[in-house]
Amino acid sequence: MAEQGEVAVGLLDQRSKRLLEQLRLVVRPRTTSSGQGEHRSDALASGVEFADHRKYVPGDDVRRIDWKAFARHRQLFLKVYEEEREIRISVLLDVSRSMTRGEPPKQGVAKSLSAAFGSIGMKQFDQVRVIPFSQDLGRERTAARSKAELPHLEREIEAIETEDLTDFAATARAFIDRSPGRGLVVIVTDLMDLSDWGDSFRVLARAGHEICLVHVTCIEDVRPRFPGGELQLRDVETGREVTVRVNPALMEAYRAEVAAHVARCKETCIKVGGRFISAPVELPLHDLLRTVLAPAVSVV
Amino acid sequence: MSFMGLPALVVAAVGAIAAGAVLLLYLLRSIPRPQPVSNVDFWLKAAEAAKPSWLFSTRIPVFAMLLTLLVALLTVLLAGDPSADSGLEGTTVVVLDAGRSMGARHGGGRRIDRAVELLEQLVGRATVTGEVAVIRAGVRPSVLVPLTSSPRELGRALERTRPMIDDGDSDLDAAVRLAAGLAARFDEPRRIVVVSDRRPEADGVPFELVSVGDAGETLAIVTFGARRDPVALGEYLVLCEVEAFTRHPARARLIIRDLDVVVFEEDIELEPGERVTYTASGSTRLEGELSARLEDVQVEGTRDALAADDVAFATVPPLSSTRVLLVTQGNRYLETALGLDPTVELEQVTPAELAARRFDAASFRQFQVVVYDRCLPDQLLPHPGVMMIDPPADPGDLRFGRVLEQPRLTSMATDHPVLESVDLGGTALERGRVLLAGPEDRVLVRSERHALSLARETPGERRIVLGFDPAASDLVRRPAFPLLMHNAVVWLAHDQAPPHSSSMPGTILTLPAGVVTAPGGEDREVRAGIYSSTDTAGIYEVNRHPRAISAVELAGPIDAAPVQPARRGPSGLPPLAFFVGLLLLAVMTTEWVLLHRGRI
Repeated sequence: MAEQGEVAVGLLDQRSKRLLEQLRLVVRPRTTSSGQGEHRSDALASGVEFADHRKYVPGDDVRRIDWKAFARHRQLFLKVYEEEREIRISVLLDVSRSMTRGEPPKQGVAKSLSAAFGSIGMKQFDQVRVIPFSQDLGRERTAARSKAELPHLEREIEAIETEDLTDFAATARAFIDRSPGRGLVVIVTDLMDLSDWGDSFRVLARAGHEICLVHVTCIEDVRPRFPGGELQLRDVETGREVTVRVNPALMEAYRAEVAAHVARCKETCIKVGGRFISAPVELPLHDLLRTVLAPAVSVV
Repeated sequence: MSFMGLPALVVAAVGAIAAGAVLLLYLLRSIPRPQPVSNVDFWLKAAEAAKPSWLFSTRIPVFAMLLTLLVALLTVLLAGDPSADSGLEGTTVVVLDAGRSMGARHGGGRRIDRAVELLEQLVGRATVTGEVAVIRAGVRPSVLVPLTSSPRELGRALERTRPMIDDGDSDLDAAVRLAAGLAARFDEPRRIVVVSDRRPEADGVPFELVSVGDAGETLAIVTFGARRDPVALGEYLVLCEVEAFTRHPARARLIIRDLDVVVFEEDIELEPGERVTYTASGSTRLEGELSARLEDVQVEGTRDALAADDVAFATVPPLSSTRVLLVTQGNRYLETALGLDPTVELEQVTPAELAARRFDAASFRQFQVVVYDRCLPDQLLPHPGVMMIDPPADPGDLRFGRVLEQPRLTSMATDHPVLESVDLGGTALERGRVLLAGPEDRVLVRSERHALSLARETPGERRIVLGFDPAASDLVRRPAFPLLMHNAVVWLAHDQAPPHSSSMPGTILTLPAGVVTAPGGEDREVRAGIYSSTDTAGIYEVNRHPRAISAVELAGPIDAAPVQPARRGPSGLPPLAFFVGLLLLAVMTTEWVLLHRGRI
């Protein structure tokens, strides 16, 4: 796994790349865009995959009349085909300072996962964009479409720098303004922001986006093991310092608070038709891709 | 409250240092460790949700600090050995018991040592606010230190007193009266503190007792021995002394046995402090193994405190004859003394006959003892046991001094076996030749600083030299003369068997190499000539010769009181340290249960 700031080293090792060759992104048909691709779309048109028959109405293309059906039923029917279209994959990568915590740092894993989604998408000739976000949506990297562009994409992801705060609501609004079309939005984040992420998920869903929320977790965030006694906690994003006396009750309350927040995000995400993936940084990348990405992708 | 172990100023200083250390520790602990986290909002919300009880609050370090401070101060307090009284103020007259019983040992130290230690602590407290006088309560009470406020002067005086114990009971009542008289000269507050192992009966005089033990009462066998009767063939004499180290009359049955044969049995009753000598006799040609026991010991009002001194052991040497060659021109006193000794096989020759018989060294040694009476041969043959009585000339290895006319015997080495039970006091000599003693000589009899008799012992040879002629004195007409000759013959014959004297338990014995059989029947081989496993009183067999180990020499009052009562403070209250210790334990346990058990 590439460490933070290591530009020369690729984000995905060969073993992970071989695994990604066998995976395929499955999205809902209505998520597809207007471009030609390999995904089934909800548009019934001139594709090659037969879908259904419908009665002929004036104005229809007479070339698509099923004459064999007319011979059997003495009625005019048209053959309807599914149209296979591409999807637009937008990977929103959390680059706030909280992503630097964890062992290994969450940000490195998040970048590897972003590259993995990009790799799968480009393999299917989808349009892949990786957009960093913190307080706002960052600069959009060039959209990549083919596998040949994967090294370039990896370098671009590696070059993304850490910023300060997290504000996903602003990020979501900016994303919708910037990307009016439908697509798959992969949000790679640690969710370490107490604000309501559900509103943003709903806004994205209403805009026609399918959400895949990848929750990058580390033990320090979800189940910290701090020594007892007085601790001066310092927020890595805001720099705010708080002194607490660590004891079992406080640790339990903290774990419950984090778990409830994650559960709320997960529930809203699923409720708007999205998918939720938990990605602990302590897992090796290969295992992470094999076990964590399984709900989001299918094996070819 | 005052302190017995440390001066109050020292306790306060140590307490302040401990408090400072605890506060410093608290300040170091109160600096929280920095810990970066992803988002503190979660922690703040968790802190609100947790609603910690006071046990988990941020005030815990303060609570812990206060508890630690309390524990530290209590520990310092405990180290100071606090006492419930308010210390010694005004005039204090201390009566220090220096009687015989204060020499009793408890756990390695004597009572007098403990008493002096306590006094030193008392002095340390008393001289801060008042003055102290010390009265030494011995057989005759005396003022050891007049009234002073100098702890150094008192300390020096007490240190000098420590090794000095009178050989008798202290007159504690008189000492308390003396203290009362001394204290009466000064204004209140005044007090009398008695440091003793018993309570004085000083009517009407208020005092405080600091007890350093309790004098036990015991009836003890203090002397037990036996020896062959030099006159009656095969008989032996037994001497047994019993002393009552009691404050009340004591009764017992004294039984002396030779193995299983009872040679003496009598009900005895002794008054307090009385010492009675009992004698008995028995008969055996073999080695006698004697034991004396006090049975059914009863001390009025109490019990016999020490059982170890109720039994003693002694041995009697076997009956054997010694071949003695007497070289003399004729001495009827000497011939009679040696001839009547049943243990002596006497052969008498004149100096001319001795020269005519031409003894060689081997044949000369068939005699175990050779006695030269006022003569010496031209060539002195080597012999392991020789007695020279008033030799006419220097034998070569002995130097003579001048002749004393009518010398008076001024000192006798009564601890030497030759003079055992021999009383030469008042013996009138016509003249005596001064003998110049060498380093290997032991002077037996002196007239002033002049040696008149020597006993020389070198490897393989013993020699006795009398520088005077007993026939020319009244010695030959005294009972001491045959006894002297008997002892001399026995010593010169120097049997290889170990001496038949008794030893104390625990004594390290110097023995010839061989096998020692303990009273329990256990055999142990002795190679280095040292045997130290003599803890058990009884008869030990050394190469099949019995040897007695008894506690008789321990039976004095110094070691006769094994009871050691718990020390009580001057106030008479239970030691405050006990309660402080309990409180300390409770505080530490509470802190652990409440704050640390199962906590991170």
